[in-house]
Amino acid sequence: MQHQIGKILFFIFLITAFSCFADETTENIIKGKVTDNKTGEPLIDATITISNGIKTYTTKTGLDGSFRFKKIIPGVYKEKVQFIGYDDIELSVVLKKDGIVNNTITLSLHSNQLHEVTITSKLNKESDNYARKTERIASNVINIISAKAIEISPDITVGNVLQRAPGVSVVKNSNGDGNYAIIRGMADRYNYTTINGIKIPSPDDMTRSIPMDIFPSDLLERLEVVKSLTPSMEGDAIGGVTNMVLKDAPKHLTYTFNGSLGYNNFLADHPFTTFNYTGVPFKTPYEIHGSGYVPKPSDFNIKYLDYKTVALPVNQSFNASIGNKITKKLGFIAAISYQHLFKGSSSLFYPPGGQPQPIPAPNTPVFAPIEYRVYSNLQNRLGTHLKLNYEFNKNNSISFYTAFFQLDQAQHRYREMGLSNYAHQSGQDYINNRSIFERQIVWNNTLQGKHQVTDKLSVDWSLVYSQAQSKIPIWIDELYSDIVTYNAGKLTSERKNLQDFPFNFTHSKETDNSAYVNGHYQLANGLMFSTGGMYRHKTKNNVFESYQLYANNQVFQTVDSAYFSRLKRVDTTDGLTYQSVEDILAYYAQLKWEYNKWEVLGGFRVENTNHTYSSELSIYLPGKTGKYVYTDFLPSINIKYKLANNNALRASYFSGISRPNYFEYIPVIKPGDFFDQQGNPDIKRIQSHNADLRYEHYFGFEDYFMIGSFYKYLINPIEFGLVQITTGQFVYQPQNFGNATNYGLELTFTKHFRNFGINGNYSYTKSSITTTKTVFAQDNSGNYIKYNTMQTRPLQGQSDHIANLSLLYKSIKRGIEAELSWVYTGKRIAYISPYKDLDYWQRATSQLDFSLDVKASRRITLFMKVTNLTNNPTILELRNTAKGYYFNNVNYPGQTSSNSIIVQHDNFNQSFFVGFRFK
Amino acid sequence: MKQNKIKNLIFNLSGLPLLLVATSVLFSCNKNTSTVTSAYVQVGQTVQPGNISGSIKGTMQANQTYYVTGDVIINSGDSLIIQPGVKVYFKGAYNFWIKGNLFSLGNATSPVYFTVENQAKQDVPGTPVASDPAFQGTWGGLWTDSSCKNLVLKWTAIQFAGAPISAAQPPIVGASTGDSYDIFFQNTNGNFILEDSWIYGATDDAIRLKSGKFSVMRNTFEKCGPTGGDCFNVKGGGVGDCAYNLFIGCNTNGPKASDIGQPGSVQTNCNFYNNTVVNSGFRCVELGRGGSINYEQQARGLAYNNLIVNCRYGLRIIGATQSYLGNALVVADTSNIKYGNTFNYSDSIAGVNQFYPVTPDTSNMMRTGAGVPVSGLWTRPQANDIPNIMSMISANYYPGAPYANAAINALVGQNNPLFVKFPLPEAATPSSIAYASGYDFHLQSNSPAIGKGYTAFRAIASVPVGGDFGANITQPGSDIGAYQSNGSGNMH
Repeated sequence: MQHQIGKILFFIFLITAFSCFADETTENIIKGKVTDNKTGEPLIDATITISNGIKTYTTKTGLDGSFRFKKIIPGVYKEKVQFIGYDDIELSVVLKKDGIVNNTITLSLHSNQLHEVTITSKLNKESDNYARKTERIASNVINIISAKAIEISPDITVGNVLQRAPGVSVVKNSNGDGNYAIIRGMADRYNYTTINGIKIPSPDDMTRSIPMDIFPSDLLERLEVVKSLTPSMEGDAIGGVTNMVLKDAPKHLTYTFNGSLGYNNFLADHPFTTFNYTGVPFKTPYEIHGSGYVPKPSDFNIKYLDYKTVALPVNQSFNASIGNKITKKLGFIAAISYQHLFKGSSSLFYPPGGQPQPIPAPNTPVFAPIEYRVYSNLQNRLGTHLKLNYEFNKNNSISFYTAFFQLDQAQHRYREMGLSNYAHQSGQDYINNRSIFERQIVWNNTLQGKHQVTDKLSVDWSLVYSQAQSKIPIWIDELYSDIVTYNAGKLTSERKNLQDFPFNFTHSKETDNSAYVNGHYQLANGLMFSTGGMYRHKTKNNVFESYQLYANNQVFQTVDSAYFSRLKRVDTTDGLTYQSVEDILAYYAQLKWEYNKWEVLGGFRVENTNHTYSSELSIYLPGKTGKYVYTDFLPSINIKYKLANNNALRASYFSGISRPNYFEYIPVIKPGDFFDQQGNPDIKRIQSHNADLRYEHYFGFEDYFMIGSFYKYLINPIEFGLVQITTGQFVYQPQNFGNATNYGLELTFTKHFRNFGINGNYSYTKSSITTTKTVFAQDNSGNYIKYNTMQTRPLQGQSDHIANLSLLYKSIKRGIEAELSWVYTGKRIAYISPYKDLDYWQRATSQLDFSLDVKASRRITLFMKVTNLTNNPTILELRNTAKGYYFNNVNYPGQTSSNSIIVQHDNFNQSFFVGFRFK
Repeated sequence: MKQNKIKNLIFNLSGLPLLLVATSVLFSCNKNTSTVTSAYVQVGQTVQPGNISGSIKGTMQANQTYYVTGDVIINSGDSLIIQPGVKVYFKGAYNFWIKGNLFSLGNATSPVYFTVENQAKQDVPGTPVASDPAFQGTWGGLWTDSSCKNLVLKWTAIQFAGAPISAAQPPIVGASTGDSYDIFFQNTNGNFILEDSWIYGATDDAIRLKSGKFSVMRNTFEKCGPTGGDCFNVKGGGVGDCAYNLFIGCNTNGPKASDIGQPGSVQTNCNFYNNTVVNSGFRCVELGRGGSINYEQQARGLAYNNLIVNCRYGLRIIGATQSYLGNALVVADTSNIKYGNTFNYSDSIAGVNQFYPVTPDTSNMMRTGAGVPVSGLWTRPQANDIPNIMSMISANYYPGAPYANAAINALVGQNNPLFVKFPLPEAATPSSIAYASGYDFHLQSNSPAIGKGYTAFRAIASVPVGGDFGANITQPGSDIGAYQSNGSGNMH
């Protein structure tokens, strides 16, 4: 550990030292910087024109607000500074021979322009300023993370950026990367994701959720988390909406490039192992051979179980963008982002043994053999984005954008079940080597038009085709029994026997065809009426096939020398093979009224949903197909009252829904040893009432303080529970469990002191839901009984406390920006158990990340990012006081808590990135 | 002008709530509909000799032959009755899906057969698992739905079954594609009766009783399970008697009871008595698991008068939840398990030392206040067991502790139960004799097992008793094992 810190310090030293070469002097110079008169913040991209009456020079300010004219003829110059949104300023300077003029020019904001969205949109949209302003003028509750903030942050995927937003926590995947956002304690099913405001489909085989680690953060202009809906927004968000705004076409030639190399410290003492997946066919055996085909063992490629060690697992990341206004009418931006990452982690896991035992206490937890897992995850993340803007004239423009994201992941998971080898004890382990290759794609194409029809009437429309896919052509779980004898810690004998093991294939494809149209009519000054609608046709096709090779317990040496005489099991359904079609027709009407200190945005939205599914369920059982038609009426209102120029009070109400996941409808039964799982064709959508109250206070330009609270009332929330469907027949299935509440408090602030800045947010959330849980206990006469009871708990994934704190250091003179970020996520339920008191809780986590930017020249910046400085693990525990019964075996690894059972301990170590950025 | 504006505003704003109200009224009466397809039911056809498939009901006439050419369904509420001497030949990997009732009523002279026509058995010692037809699953199995009230099989031979449920989703709940059992029963309130029958071969559990009332008596189980599976695997809510059965060459256990699954007020309660278990447990992959008779995971019951010959482990009862050499053990309802009068015989030292399964490594175990390790393996030698190990072991013995000593090791080949025809000692251990044909497991008149049984308890008799459709219960017998010297017990 100390060694690591040393390494970090050395890097910091290196980069700081390098930056000293950046400052050079030349003669006959007029230079300076342009700042905001109130905050002193540098203004980026301001235009400076100097003229001595004969010759005129023009330049723009850089990232730090500075400008520089070199080799200027000495004399008297008129210097004019212009910046959109600010009052122009003109002054006179005198440049002596071989002299240097260095002046700081402060500009003041147009006083009336704070109220106009249209003006701010001409600011640098990637800046923090713009983000704050948009938050401030927005009619609804919204949080924005700017591209600038993302750039300086330690995060390289959107999944990780999200956790910096107030009231947002993320669910991490086995790499330790943020995967799904939990907004105000509401899990992924309560939120949706958009690109430039257009909803995108999900590659997931069961849910509507978008794994946010698909998206590289470098393509973003800003990330918005919208927490209160307006009538013009789709209504199926109860928690919130994550909107990724991709970089927009610039007004002049802009190109950027950055590249970096990195390393995950976990790999220092765990070799990174992977397999060769090139040429893998993205088809299932049935898709290749037709459904009548009888698969043979030779159809399954065991080469994917040949692991090789990567000698130098160096992470690489490249991003480039170019944009220009080619003609007066046509502008474009094209951007690409590519990441090639080696991620490692390890995990100790106590798998729930399914059913608890009734003694000594009811629901005493029971575990399957303890597992030790080591992950080697190879990621290739590609994001591309192209946007074309065409302005026919001042009043009519169209734009086309296409965004394509692809994440390839090859995972080798070594899993030891039993821990004999881990603990060097005699015994039997089952060893599982898993190879997974998954390709996830999200592709969005939008054609958009904006028309100012008259002074008062404007119309915009969008035509959208998007697609999301997940293909898992490799999912193999090699399994062998490993009987070992250890003598005084030394392995003295070992017998391996290969077990039957599966090859799984999953394809999931979701296609969206949507059309949107909106019209805005200015009824009077300060009174805008808008109406519009959208239609979406969405199809989801899911295919799952599983084939088990019969290994006959043969003596195992290598998988290449193994012999498979036949298939043991063929499962081409498993309930995961289904098709869903969803048609949504929605329309709305809204009024925006600005008067004096008031701003009110309100109206209603109507969403008609027509959902059908068709499954592989036997025709002899009910529910093979289903059709659901329902209509939601969703009113909402957002009120803003400006107490003074720099502070305001907001209140909002909206009604939102959450549609069941496709899979949840389908009553295919997945039998299990402990309980059977089944979809529920009677499931209803979730409805909600949501209210928000917020006070915000701005100090100057970038400093602000916001405090808010929210309340949510959920009708028919969907949760899983064990229920009796017929006499003696119980299934674990999604149910509508009455009503639930969720409320909380949010606090956000930013404060700058000269070169230092501090920003943070804190949120408190409390939710409560009551569902059925099963209890296994002993009755008075000593018989064991199982019965259902109700238990109240927080919503899955809801943390009571979430906090972010960042310390920023910014020296324009030295060209250094540094950020130390801390994320705290309070305890939350990670997995819901069907049994009372046996939910798996994730312990509160805090993570410390560091990043550093050093300007090497006007256009080149060197940067470094270090994540998880303190090597913080993710720990899951059972907060069950009946601890100990299973622990008849003492000395179980990882048990460090006296009042809980630690059931999972994930270790990720630090990750480093060092690179440069060219702008 | 300004006033005008405000008026305008007020007018416009007054329109908003009106609009809202109007729309609410409009949509408050909107209709939300859902349409889910109901189960398809093909009316059951009265069964006729010859080819059968699809939905059938009625009676299969005595001594007729039926060829199964596709999956067979017995609808909920329908019954199929099979008279003596009927032969049901499977022409492929088809299943019986039983949502109603099935009564297969053979007799001693005219058994009913569910089998494959002209399929020869390969009852030769040493036949490899991969080529033994017993383990191939040539046809599927008898699968009952949760609506099945009665599955009654008397004098019925189930042979070469166990093909996994293929491609399509099964038409019953509780099972999934790929599952492979000869017989599957799941209705907690239903009756499963298997009497005087033969189960020959299986690819996993021969019988998976997910739940239900049962009486499994006087049957012969041979060659069940190639690398996994029990002969009679009882899960949550299974209640009944399993007695007078001969289990030979089982992969794991003969009968096994656990209370997992099926939430409800019914606890698994199994009486396992007067069974003869021979040459079992050796194909099982897992250490410490499988051999003869087993109670685990909250199951309760009585286990007496069982004769265990050359099995990997003796009667195994889990007494604490812990890990055994890396495998999970979950405690049985030990306060409600009674056992004794077990007759153990083995031709190997390893077998003798596992009459009462032991935990080789106690170093990691929790200990009682007196410092005695609490082992998950809980079977304690009983004074009326044969041989009486209790009299030969040290005072420090606790259940699960290794008990080997010179005197005990000398028990190899001792206490021969004296079957009428079976080679004891066996030529090799583990023995590859996994079948009963050619042998006779009746006791010779001078067998040490005779008269050593415990009879002061009764069968649970959870199922209807008597008549053609009810069970014929044989109460505990005075001789240990399935074959009684008075001619009662197993009739094979």
